Amino acid sequence: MTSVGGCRPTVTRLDAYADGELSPDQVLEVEAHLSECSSCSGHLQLEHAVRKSARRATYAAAVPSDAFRERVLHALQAETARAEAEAAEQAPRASMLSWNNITPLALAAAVALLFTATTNEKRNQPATMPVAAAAVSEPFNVEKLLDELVDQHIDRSEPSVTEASLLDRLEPEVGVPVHAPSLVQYGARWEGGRVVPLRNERAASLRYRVAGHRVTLYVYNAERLQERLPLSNRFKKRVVRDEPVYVAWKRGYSIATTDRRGVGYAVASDLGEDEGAEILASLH
Amino acid sequence: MKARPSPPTDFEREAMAQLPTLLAVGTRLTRNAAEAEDLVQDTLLKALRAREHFAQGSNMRAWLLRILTNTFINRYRRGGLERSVLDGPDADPLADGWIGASTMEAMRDPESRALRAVLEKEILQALDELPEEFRLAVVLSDVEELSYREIAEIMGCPIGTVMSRLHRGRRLLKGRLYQHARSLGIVGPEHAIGVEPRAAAGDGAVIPIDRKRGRVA
Repeated sequence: MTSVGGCRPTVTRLDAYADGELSPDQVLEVEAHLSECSSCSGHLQLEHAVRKSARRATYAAAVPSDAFRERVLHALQAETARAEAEAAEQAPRASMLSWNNITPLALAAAVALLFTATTNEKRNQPATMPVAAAAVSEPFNVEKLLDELVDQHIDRSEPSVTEASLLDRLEPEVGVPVHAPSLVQYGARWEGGRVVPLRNERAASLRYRVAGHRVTLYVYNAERLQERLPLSNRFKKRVVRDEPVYVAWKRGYSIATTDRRGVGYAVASDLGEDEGAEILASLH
Repeated sequence: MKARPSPPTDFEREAMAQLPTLLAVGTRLTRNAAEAEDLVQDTLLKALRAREHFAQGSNMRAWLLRILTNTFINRYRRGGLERSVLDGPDADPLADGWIGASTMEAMRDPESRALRAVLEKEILQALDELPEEFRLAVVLSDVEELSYREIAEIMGCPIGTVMSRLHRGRRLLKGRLYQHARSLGIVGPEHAIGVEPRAAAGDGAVIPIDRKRGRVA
């Protein structure tokens, strides 16, 4: 009775049958065969036995400890409290900066600095940047800032955030939206982010690895950072895809920088200045 | 004046109820207890932030498992799960010929104590040795009993791919278990399906079909 020909239609469907994924008609066909074939019904029994054991073993091997339960509950409560506090605090600030019109997605796109037509002429004239000009109250020391950009870049400290979706935790410290652009088009792998001091301000430092090179993307509040990098003639202006990017060299590292809507961006790497500028201009 | 802990929110209650599931799946994904705990915590924090995107009435467990999977892929496997050279066009199911009647006799009865101990210890190891894509598919189906469609959504692949991964994963799994059963002398040398069964031929009894997959208690 039990021939390969007779078993074949059932054998091919046995998994789906056990998974409850067959149509009613197919179920009837399979069951008709199973009722008269001990080999196939044995296979089904084995399927069930293996699954049952897999379930039991998988659950038995990972019972949440009380400590873990407590830790998770605490984390959830803290997150709820944080979200409530943030909502309360951000309401006035958001309207001031007109960010309440910007959805999180649009903000991500706005990391995306250079996509509007900021003319090069405008960029070259400090007079058109009243906020920045007013903010400069200390001697302009771009060399120190470049040093810091390099120092933070070569610092091997562990990132505090390795989960891209948690980067917004850095936002309160940095004061501007922090997102990690994927930069996949360069084969970049994002490694993590942390907050670093940059002169008298704090910036988010986002670490990438591109073809074996470490690349740091800084995101900072361009209006509070007193030395606005593009204002210095220490930088060369380049135009990449119609967007101005400012590049300089410091101790063998290339620094590319620009800003957009009050958010400053800088890329430090041991790649060439073309690559740094390209990465910045790509952020759309 | 001590602040009294506030009563748990609905979300917190639901999350804690799903903790065993998330930790069980997370542990098989990461194969590391500490990483699994971090993964589960991140998963629940993400779920908390995104909870307005959860459609009430749909499968909360499947939704959380999806976040868990995505979090795992994003954190540990940027660009997707480890791919396996074994992933490809499906093989002939009849090629699962290593299982014969004697093996089934010995292996299908989970109450057989000797075997159960072997199965449960070895099954985890066998699962952990599966390529990630297979392992995840098998865990979501065999352990979590999600539908092919739910698994396809979680893994971001077509249903046909889910079926192929399940088939291959289960075959590898059973092959592993069989080898262990053999090495322990629980089963003898194998006869392929289609070859005249030895043990089952004699008893001739119709084995009752367990149509519903029982949940583990």
